[in-house]
Amino acid sequence: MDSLIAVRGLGFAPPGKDRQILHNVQLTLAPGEIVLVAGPTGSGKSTLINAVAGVIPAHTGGCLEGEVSFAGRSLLPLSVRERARHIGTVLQNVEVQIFTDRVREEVAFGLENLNVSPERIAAQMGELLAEFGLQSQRDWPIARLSAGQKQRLVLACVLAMDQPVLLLDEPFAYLDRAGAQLLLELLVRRAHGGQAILLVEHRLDLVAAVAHRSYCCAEGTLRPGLPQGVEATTAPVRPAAGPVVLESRILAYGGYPPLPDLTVRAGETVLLKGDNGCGKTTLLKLLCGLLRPAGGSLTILGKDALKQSVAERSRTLGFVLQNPNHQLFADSVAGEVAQPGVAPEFAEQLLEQLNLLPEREQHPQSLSQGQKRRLALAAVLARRPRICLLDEITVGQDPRSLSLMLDALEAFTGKGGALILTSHDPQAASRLGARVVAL
Amino acid sequence: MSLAKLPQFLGSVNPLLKIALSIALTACAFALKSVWANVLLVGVLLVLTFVSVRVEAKSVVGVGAFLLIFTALTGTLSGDWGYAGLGAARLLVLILPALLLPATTAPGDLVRAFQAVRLPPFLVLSLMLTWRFLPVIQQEAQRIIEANLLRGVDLARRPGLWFSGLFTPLIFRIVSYADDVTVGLETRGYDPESPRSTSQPLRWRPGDTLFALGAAALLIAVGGLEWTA
Repeated sequence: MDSLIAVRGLGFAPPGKDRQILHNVQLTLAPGEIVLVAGPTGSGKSTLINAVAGVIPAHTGGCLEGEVSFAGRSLLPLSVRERARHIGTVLQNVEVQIFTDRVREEVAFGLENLNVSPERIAAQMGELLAEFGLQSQRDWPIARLSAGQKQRLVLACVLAMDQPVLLLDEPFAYLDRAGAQLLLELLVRRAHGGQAILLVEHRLDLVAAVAHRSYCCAEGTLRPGLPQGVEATTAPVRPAAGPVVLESRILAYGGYPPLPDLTVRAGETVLLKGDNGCGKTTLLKLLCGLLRPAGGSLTILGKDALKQSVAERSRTLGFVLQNPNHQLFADSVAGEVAQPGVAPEFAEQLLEQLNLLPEREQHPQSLSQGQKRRLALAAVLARRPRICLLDEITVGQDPRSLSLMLDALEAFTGKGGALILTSHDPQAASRLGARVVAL
Repeated sequence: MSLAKLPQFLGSVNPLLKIALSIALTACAFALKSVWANVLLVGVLLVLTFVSVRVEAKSVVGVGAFLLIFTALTGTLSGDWGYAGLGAARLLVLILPALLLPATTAPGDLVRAFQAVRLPPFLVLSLMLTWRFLPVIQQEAQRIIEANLLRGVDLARRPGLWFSGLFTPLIFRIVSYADDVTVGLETRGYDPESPRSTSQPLRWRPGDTLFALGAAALLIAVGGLEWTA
């Protein structure tokens, strides 16, 4: 079968660097094919997607060599916009692909760009929103959507454009099990319909079965086959024997149904589990004080936490946010962890534990998403909190990187720290021996 | 002031009409010399603000305090309290439309309005990105402030840390935003040179006539007050 996309001898060196982060990459993508690219964080998977979409080098600088073609025609002279006529791209950070403030407006925006008639937009919009489970949110402000719902929205918007090639950079990252299953079925249907799909993903348990071909991206090259997984270990749910460190009762917020009561003990790990948009992040924000509950009570280490400010609560409670970009301020990786009051030896130890020592002098924003997440965790653990809140931190992590984070978290609970986390990744919960609380 | 929108009349008014009125009001703020004409404008704008935008009590207190200080300073320095009152009213006439327009106009409506008047595509693109930019920056600043709080740094009480804790990361975000958003826009198929359809074509509705008549009546009343003064 003739390939739609052909990548030949692709190499890329970022601006100011001689060393290529992609080297001699060969890849073809035929109509009806789903090709999976997996590999460690920072190995160049997103760079590959960006090179095919045209983001690299036009918007990043750097030196690109080799050839990228669509149906036999070189794509290199074309801009992202010109390539978008043939290639639909879902970027890793979907927030930069959102341009309006309402769900229905956002779906319409892409169709308007394609000059679809108003009548067809109305019909297609209804179908798309129903297909992606966003019908009841059609009039919602986008700011009210959860990360998973935003991801579903952008997927709906891009798939609506119906280009022959789809490039999807971790499209399953924030999706709950049902949402992921729905997307999988949709991608298989699209592939049967003739679309060619290049998928970069870490959740191999979900996607490996539907891929026609798989590649491992490592050290800048693509090798056939999937990366070797780190052996998944399962820990039994640990008995909660320590003193109670956090207790919440009938916390209420906005339009959410009643949030579950929590009783968390020292050394315990609690997983908040629920579908996209059910209020997991909201509950974490209520616990740390970023949101103020409409009712209920919250006790942290025996004190009425609702009378404490966020800054006061932060002395005992750390929060690793869903998006690490919002949490990294320093001008170097080492500086991010070496906060006031943090012993330099402990900071070094954390960087080593999370495999960030080689990047210690780099700017945090130059790291891959996975490395940023590890750094955000290191920066929070450095302050030695008694309770740590983790919001979807397993997103964007390859098995090795995830294993490093879980080791660090195990060490934290082993010393009596309490963890409350949200994650759609079953491996994280089982490895940490988490008690599951359903929302 | 929270820019969260309430179900409201102003949100459904033709964006071009709102833009025209905002320009007219800005011109009035500079031209009017009558305190009462300005007070009438401020009154109407305040009513529109409170029925259209969710305003937090602390914002009202903050703006009120700022205006009092502004008036007191101007009055003390000039020795003319009428002039000081006029200055405060003018300031409100300038500020309120600038807040109301973005708070009651969806970015999509704005693009449709600009397309309807055949504005050059590059201008539509620039205005759209600017319209999208302001709330994003507001959101980013909020997120950075929250991330600082989570590290125990309350920026409101430690202005010495504003530069390293807020401005530096915010400037970094603004710079990276420009490129990110351009890429995002291109991946969504936006091409300023290509024809676009519109899912909700801009139409003149009865509400627009009502709004236009109301605006005309207001401007006539303001003109009358100015003339008699």
